[in-house]
Amino acid sequence: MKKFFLMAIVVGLCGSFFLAGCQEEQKGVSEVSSGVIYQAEQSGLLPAQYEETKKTNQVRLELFNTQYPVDTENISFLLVNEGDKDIEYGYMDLKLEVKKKDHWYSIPVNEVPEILLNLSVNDKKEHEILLDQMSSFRYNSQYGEPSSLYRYDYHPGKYRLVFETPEIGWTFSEFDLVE
Amino acid sequence: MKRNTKRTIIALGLAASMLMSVGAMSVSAASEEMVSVPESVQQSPQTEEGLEILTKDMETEEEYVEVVPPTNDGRTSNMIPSTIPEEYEEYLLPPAPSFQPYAIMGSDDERYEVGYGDINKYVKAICYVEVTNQNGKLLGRGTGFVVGGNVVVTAGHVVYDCPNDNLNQWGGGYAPVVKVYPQRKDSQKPLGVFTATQCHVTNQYAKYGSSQFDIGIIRVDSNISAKTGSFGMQYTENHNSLVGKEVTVAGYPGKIGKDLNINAGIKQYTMKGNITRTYSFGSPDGSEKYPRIFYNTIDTSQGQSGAAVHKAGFVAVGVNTAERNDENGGVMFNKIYYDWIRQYI
Repeated sequence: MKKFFLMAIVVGLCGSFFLAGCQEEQKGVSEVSSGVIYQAEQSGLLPAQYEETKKTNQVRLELFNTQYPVDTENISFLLVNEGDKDIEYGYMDLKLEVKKKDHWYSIPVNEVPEILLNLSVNDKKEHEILLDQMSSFRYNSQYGEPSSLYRYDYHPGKYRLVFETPEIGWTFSEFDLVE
Repeated sequence: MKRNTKRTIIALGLAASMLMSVGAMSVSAASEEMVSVPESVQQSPQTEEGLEILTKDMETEEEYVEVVPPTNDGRTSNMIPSTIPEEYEEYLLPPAPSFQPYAIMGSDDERYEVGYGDINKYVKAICYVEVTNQNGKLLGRGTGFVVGGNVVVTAGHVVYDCPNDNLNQWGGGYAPVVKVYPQRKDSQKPLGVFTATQCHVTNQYAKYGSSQFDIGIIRVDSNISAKTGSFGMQYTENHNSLVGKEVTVAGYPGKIGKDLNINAGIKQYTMKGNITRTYSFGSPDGSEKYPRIFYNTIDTSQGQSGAAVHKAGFVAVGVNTAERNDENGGVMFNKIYYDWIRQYI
């Protein structure tokens, strides 16, 4: 009898996790309902995939620190063109990744403007990304959209910023978010 | 008896699981209701006196906030017609069957060069917009479209780098120098170059970079529309009425092709598709809406910010501004934007 009771609890808990998981998956999709769209919540991370042979020395991505508080609002970095031709790039070419169990995963992007930026030969530019905790910008679009580029609830751990364009390849710089 | 007990207990377990899930959903719903509305969206650029605009005089470098009052010129139409000759429509038609489209991100990149690459068939009112520093060093590029007089409409972020937004495109604030090249194809500039004398964005966009206000106006040094013709403009009070309508987005992407790995140079690319969804942001008093417009079958990419989203007859209904994982989109014209732009024409 005791065994059956325990089994029922286990089944119940599994069912609960299963349903919660389904719900979480659905949240990744924008829902339009009578003119109101709810911002997608954190959807799945995608495994990062780069070819080792396409690592580049033409551009250097340099962070100013190796550690940042987990509640930091933005991170500045330097892009340096060390190649022999101008680099055209945009917001989509910057990927923020988180390390989980020795693998890197790309953090989903919210929305990116379609301007094309230019970095001349031997030039450098300081940029920054916003790291708003997703939970802090979880509001419906009746009022607006988050300005943060990435959708994630940041936690202490290892992260990296990757710069990649199909023409020149990829480079990255790692950092830690700490308590 | 034992079997019945087992069934009852399992049923109870499942019921408990359902209850827990319902509870979890309620907590989730409650947390969504409790979220605070950020400061960036509590203010509308529209005041009782009019639209709050941040203007930069590009020659004196003076910046000032002005309130553009609501128009009261007796015009009640929600549309200004285009002056672009009809025959240019055909240069935006789908490619001939022999044309091999590029592929892009799992589906075909079906953009193709306007007029099949013939510069004489480029739409003159579509402009390559270039941002440089004072020494002429290229900082960024986008697209714009002529709407009449000396007025070119583009995305807000093409001319203004919001300091509170991501990336810091050129160190914040207005672009140092903005140049407009209608009908440009690579090094060919058949209509020359027009230099911006004034740029405008809403003060709301300047402060917060909110995507629903991502629209900019460039006023150039002479009557550009006399040489290019102009796009028409139209707004609608019911943004949902545009869903399903066919529109074209043509502009100057930097990269095309599968994985966006082909350098497009400086060429006009175009693609048609349907508006797949719209939605609207409310202003605090609920009196006005700031709609956005999305299309998941039209390929666009970096460099196409500021392109017109237009219907047949070259009537623009919005401005292309951004891309997301599964759709591209922009700002849709409302009466406020329409009146604001019209005042400069």
